Amino acid sequence: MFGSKKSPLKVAKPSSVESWTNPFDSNDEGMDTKKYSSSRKTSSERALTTLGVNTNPFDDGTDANKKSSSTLYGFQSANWNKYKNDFRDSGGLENQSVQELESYAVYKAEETTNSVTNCLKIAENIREEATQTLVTLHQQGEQITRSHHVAADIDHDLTRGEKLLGSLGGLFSKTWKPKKTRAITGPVIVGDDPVRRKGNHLEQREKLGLTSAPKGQSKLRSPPQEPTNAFEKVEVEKNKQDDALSDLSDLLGELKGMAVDMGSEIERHNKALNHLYDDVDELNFRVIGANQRGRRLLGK
Amino acid sequence: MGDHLARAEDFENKAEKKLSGWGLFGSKFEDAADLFDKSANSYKLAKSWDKAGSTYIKLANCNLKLESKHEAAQAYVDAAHCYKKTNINESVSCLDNAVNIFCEIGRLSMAARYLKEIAELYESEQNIEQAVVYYEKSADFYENEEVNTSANQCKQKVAQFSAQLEQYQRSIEIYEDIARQSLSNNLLKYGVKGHLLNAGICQLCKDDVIAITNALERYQDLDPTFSGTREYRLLADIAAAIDEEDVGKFTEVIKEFDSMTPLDSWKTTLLLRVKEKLKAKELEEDDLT
Repeated sequence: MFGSKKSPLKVAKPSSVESWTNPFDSNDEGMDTKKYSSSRKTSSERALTTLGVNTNPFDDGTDANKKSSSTLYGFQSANWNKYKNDFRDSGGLENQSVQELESYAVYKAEETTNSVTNCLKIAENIREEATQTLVTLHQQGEQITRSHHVAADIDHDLTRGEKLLGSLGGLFSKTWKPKKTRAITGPVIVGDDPVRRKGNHLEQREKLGLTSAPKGQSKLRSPPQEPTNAFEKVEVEKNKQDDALSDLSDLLGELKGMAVDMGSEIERHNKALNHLYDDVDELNFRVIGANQRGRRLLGK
Repeated sequence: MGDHLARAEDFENKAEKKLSGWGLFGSKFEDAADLFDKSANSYKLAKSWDKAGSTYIKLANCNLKLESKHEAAQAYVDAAHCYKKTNINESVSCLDNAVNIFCEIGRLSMAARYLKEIAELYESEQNIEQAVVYYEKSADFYENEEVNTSANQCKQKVAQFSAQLEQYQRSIEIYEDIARQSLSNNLLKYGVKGHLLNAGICQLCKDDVIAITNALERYQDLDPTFSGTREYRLLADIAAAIDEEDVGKFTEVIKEFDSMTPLDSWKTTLLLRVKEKLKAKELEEDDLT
């Protein structure tokens, strides 16, 4: 797309799909990701795939249409199918050569890496959604407070109206006093507002050295060298899994914090809405009284 | 449908007659307003949007004569919503009138809401420059009324469009400001790294490696947890790729990030601009050698 340089991550897929459709896909996810992604493809994506079109805007596009027959470690796709069946078609695990079992171990390690990576992706998506939810909750809290302020303003205006209605009766009429069951409180911040108070708690802990910032994914750290035998390949996969699980752990910790914050904010909203309800109920009672007084005055 | 249209025209004619006749203490305007309202509703039922819009404008004028400014503003808003289906310019004009009236009577939050609506109309018409102007006005009004979340939403739109119009510094300032505000709030602090990522991408577009490095240091000071995030690593690695003028590394870094968190179209557009500049540099280098 942008010239003739070959893209660095152009690694062949185990199947013979001619190109990928994810604009930035690293394309090294082995067989198992197909299980997850193929069912979700839209018809347009399928069309792109069959046409062999490379839709990656960051790709240089020289190698997009080459058919691939081997995977990351040079295994035949037929072998992958055999591993998927756990050697049921070829006499079970016991009847396999050491080499076959080593290849099988590598396949399983890759499959596990893909599963963990998928978990991480899902957790990332959840975090994105949760972040949006928190923003919406914050907005909702602001709206409740504003509504309550408006109720307090209505109270002031109504008090003036009641005074006017009281003085409208004429010389010989009985003076009218509005009935009030309770005072309008206006918005109440429940307890000490945790949202404001704990804002920089994490930063303070950081400075104290109590929590280390979550270490970034170390996928891009330079590997010692290309793995040569099955054992090394499995070790590489294990390292990838460790990194991904570490990231997943950090993410889940963050999600827990988000859930706690959501809970406490919703609790605050409930309490604030209770106060608002009480005030609006009182206002309603007083408006009814003022209307009755107005009707009486008009009836005279 | 024809029935509704006939009724609408009938109500409108009656209203016009009322206005041209004599009335006691301005009651003719009240009666006419009532009839115009009925007429406009019937036009809406007949799906005759232009006529409904023009009738609502007449209703607004009656309300202005009666000094009922709030009702007049609301009538302009109704007119705008009718015109929205047929004539965007008329719709914007009506909303503008409504905003002016709301400002007069001190209903600034309502004014802000309709300024935002004007901005959205311009956005739907791909008139980005005007959309930016109105989103900015809306953000100002919301800030005056201390409706900070809505103000920030409008500011983010301004930042997004400013970056598209290559006004990167303006975008950076907005995103950094929002990040700073969000840090002090338990609910908004989780979005900080997203804002800083957006600011960082705008920094990358400015094509100044030193500025990028300084910005990343500043973001670390702003939020100590940022340095451990994938967003920080993406920015740092892209900065390194730009410094080394390595398009391959640039692509690899972005693909790796996108495989975990798909980049939205705005980020993709800006990063493509960065890549184009990087490729141009690389070609220059090749020409020199």
